[in-house]
Parts: sequence; structure tokens; C-alpha cells
Amino acid sequence: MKVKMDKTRVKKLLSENIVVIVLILLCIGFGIASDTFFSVRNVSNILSQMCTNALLASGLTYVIILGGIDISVGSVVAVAGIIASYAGLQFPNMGIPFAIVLLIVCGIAVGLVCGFINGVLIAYFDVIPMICTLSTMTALRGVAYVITGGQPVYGLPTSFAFLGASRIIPTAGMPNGAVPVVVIFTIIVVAFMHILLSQTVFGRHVFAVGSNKNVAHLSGINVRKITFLCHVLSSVMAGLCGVVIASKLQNGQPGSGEGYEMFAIASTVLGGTSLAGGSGSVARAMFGCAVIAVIKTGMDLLQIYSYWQNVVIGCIIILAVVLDMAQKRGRN
Amino acid sequence: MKQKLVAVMLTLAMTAALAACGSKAEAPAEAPAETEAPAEAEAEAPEAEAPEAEEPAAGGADLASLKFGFVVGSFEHTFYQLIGQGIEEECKAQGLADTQFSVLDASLDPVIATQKVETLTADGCNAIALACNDAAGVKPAIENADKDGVAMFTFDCTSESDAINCFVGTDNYQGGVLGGQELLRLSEEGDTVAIIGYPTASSCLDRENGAVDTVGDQRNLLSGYDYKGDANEAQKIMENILTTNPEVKAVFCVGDPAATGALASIKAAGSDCKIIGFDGNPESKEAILDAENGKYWVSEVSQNPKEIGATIVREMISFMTEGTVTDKQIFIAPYIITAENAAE
Repeated sequence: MKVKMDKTRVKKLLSENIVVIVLILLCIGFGIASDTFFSVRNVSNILSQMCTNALLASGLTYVIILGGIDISVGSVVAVAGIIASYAGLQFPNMGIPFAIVLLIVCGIAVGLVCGFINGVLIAYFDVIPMICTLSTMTALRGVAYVITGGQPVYGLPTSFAFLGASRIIPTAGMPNGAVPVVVIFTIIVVAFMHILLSQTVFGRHVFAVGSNKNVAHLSGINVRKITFLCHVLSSVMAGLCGVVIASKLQNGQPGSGEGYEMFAIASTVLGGTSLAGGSGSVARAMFGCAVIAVIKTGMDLLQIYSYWQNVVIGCIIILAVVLDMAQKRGRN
Repeated sequence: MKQKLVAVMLTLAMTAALAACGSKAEAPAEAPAETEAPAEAEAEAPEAEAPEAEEPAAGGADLASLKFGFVVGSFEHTFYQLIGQGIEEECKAQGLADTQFSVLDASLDPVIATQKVETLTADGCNAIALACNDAAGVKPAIENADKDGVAMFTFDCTSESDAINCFVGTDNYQGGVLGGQELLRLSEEGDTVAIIGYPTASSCLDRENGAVDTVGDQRNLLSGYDYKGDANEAQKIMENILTTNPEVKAVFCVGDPAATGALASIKAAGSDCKIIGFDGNPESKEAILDAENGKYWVSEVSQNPKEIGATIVREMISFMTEGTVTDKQIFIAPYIITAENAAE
């Protein structure tokens, strides 16, 4: 009897942590196949490369838990990067601390504006999230091209690149630093987003609204306000992602972030956040981001043609969704 | 609780793996042992506290100990596939083993290009060549890799950085001049001609500028379009041009995907507008020789992508083993293909 119970528990543990198992298996596989995979430099690269996706996914987790979607994040990325770049051009002699503050303020400001538009339309005008964010995605991409005339915004000072491109803590193998600054920044932001969702009353309300809007409303939760705030958070994360990319490239690109929403949604779903709403976790979405980053980098190291990367990522997402559905059926 | 436990276990596993592999990472890639004065690497590091930049090695290396990395624009474009083929064929011809070179795809995105350069650096490449489809966007990646001791090269399109040791590409402006001359040849004074451009790609902007400067006021010129490297977008642009200017006599497309899109629109509209493509991909030659498509697609400014790929490989090897390159900038001259010489 006890053995049987243990088996059930192990099975549950495995199925609930499938993304972690997939990640470990991928790391082991790539580690065996490539001498470089576990090198400090490569691990540092993987962490750095998953940062943009991690920022987007941490915001999207809130919206998806609500049962909604936000496909405008890629365009918010572009607008935030451009605004930050134009702001950076105004201060050619700025120092690193000022540059960091400027980038963060620009990212949050653009995110607030874009999130306000999405939030008001979805929460107070009851526009379907997919349609609303599809419209804002198109409009904001247009804004990015209108502002820049289709040209990148360049000529920024080197201090502008500190947040996105610099590394600290030099080692013998990496004299220019082993730890990307962007990784530290992302960890702080993602930790904040995780705590906000899992440890606060606001977070509980997000889950309640995602599980059942009517019950949440009858319980005294302001459903519209929660919906509005989640969309604002999603756009603010996209804004921060945009300024990180602008900093990394040391310029603002009107085409930046195109298609990023799909990888961010995929990471969130891989991390176990249900597209039907009501369940999910920012921390687990990070495992989803790691799976995608590991596949991309690992396959590059093994010189596997880039077309295959999309095939493999697509298959893994399908697998994650099928397992998620199977689990839900099991519970029911 | 269980999730936290698994997360902690994963972190420990990764940390252990990192510690185990630390020695591997700390040993610098087997760069040429005794090196001579390398290219300048004076670009200021954003991190002021970083130690003195490690400088790329030049000359004196044993070819068998070297590793080369290449980042092409996009494998979705025949042109870059051909550059990739040229690189692979030349690497093999030079006696490099399959493990000594990698060719990766940047998907025409400066963020992805930056990531690929980082991946190749982590993989221990001693020299990396990339196509800078976004000149400003990849500059930090080039300078960071240079600071990490990787010798940097560019092909097809370049970036303004002192870290670049050699650039091999087509003289795009000259190619644009040839395209402009073809526009003039295929039309008469007072006629309307058009250019479908892609201004965010610096190479395509040079081509457009070359054609615009050549045509000047000699024709009624329609330009300023952006087909974004997408044939479907070019098809829509051509449709709009034909709607507003049905009398257009010839169109210069700054890339073959644009010419493919324009061809579809011109045929659908029943126009007799002539197409001048740019790239010299196999599909352009096929179209020019085709009885039906050849009525419209009559001319092509051809690059030599395989030769670009082969030349950059030779220059990288020369730099790493002998410390020299033929020239800081090497241009492979474009030429015109018409029905008369397409079969060659």
C-alpha cells in the first residue's frame, strides 16, 4: 500500500516538474555532446541570452494566469528601446549610474503608457485581449517606424551599454567579466515579480480572478482593477526588456522584438502556466525560458542547422501543452 | 515545497557542473602562442574596472589548433546559403576539420547576431566573421568579442569598428550604379522607373543610393520603399506602384526576394514593366532564361556569394597564421547578367 502511494507521489512529482526534468536532460545531453556547453563562458551566455525572454515571460505570466494574452509585448519592446535611445542621445556625457536610471525610467514609463492603453481597453471596455493586443501590437510597431523613419537610433555613449552589454567579476578565462550585468538586473526584477505573485494579496487576487471571475467578484475583488494592473505589469516588463535590448545593442531598433511574444508565451506555457488561466508561476516560467535558451545555444554549439531549432522548440511546446492537458484531465 | 526542493537541486547540479568545468573555461582558447602586434582594440569598455583588454592574436598560429566561426545573415535567403556553401567548401579545401568551423544563422536580427557571436566566442573560436546586416546593432558585439581576444572580420556588409581586421563584400554602391544604368537602358526620357529598397540593411541602402545617383533627373524616379527583405512585402509594394503608376517601365529591386515579389505583381497586373534584380541567385538566372518570366525579369546585378565566403575564409586564415590580410577592405566586383550570359 505504502509502495503504491510512493509511486503515485513520484509520478505526481515528475509530472508537475516535467519542465525541470526536460531542462536537466537537455543540459546533460548537450553537456555530453559539447565540450563547451558547461564552460563558465557558455553558461554566462545562456543566462544572458535568456534575460530578455525572462523579463517578457515574467509579465506575461500575470496576464495568462488571468486567462488573457498579450501579444503586443514585442512592439512595446521596440518603442521602449527607441524612446530610451533618444533620451540617451540627449545626455552624451552621462555616467553609468545615470544611464541605468535613465534606461529603467524610460522602460517603465513606456510600459506604463502602453499598459494603460491595453489595460483600459481590456478591463474597462471589455475588448477581447487577443484583438486588443493585436491592434496595439500593429499600432505600436507603426509608431516605432514613424518615430525613427525606419532607421536605428545610434551614436549613444558607452555608458548606455553598461546595463545590457557589460560583464563584471573578471576571471582568468574571462578578463572582461564573467557575470553579465543584465543577469543581475533580470534576477532582481524577476524575483520582485515572483514575490508579488506568490506572496502578496494582489497575487492571490490575480489567481482568484483567473480561476473564476464571478466568484472573485462576489468575494469583493475588484476584477477590472486586477485585470488592468496585470496588463500594465506585462507592458512594464516589456518596456524593461526593450531598454535592455537597446542597451545591449547600444542603439534603438524599430524592428526590435518582432516575434518575441511567441517565445515568451511558449516559455510561460512550458513553465506550467495554464492558458485557461487560474494557475502558474513566475519562477517556473523561468525554467521554460531556460529550456528555450539551452536548446538554441546547445544546437548552435553542435552546429545543428537553425531550421531544426524551431522544429525542436515547437515540438517541446506541444509536448508541454499535451502533458498539461493530460494532467488536468487526470485531476478532473 | 517540492518545487523549491527541485529548484535547489537544479541549482546545486548546475553549480557542481560549473565547478567541475571551471578549469576548462579558465584555460583560454588555444589561441596562437606567440603573437605579433595585433589589431587595435582600444574601444573603451563600458565597465571601467575591467582589466586591460585581451588583444586578438595575429599570425604565427598553427592552423590545426585554430577554430573559426561565421554568422551569416539568414539561411532563409539563397544568397546567404551560397555564402555559407562558399565558406564550407573553402574551409575544407584549406584542410580544416568539421570541428574547426561553425556557420550560424543570425535571422537578420542584430540581437540574434549578437547572441551567435557570444556563442561562438564561448565555443572557443579564435576568429569570427559576420555579416553586419545592421551595422550599428552588431557593433557592441564585435567590440566585446575583440576585447575577449577574438579576431573579428566582416563580410557582405560591415560595421564601423576598429576591431574589424578585414571586410570582404560586394561593392554595393557600384552594384547600384549598374542597376541605375540598367534602368536607363530599359526606359526612355520621360518614362517612370522605380526602385524597391530595403533601407534598414546598409548594403541595400548603398545599392539604392547608387541607382538613385545614377538615374538622377533623367527619369521620373519612384523610390523610398522598404520591402523589409520579404518577397511578400515587395509584391504588395509593386502592386501599389502599378496601381498608382501603371505606366512604370522598369523596376530595380535591391535584392532577389524583392524581384520575386515584383514579378508576381507585374504578371498579375498584365504590365510590361521590366525587372532588374540584385544578388545573382540561381532563381534569378532561371527566371531570366525562362520563356515566360524572362519577358519581365530581364537583367540582374550579380554578386558572387560563394567567392565572398571563400575569400573571407582565406583572409581569416592568412591573418591568424601569417598576421596579414590582403587589404582591410576587399570588394568582389558585381556584374550584369542578362539572357545572353545567364546560361554561363
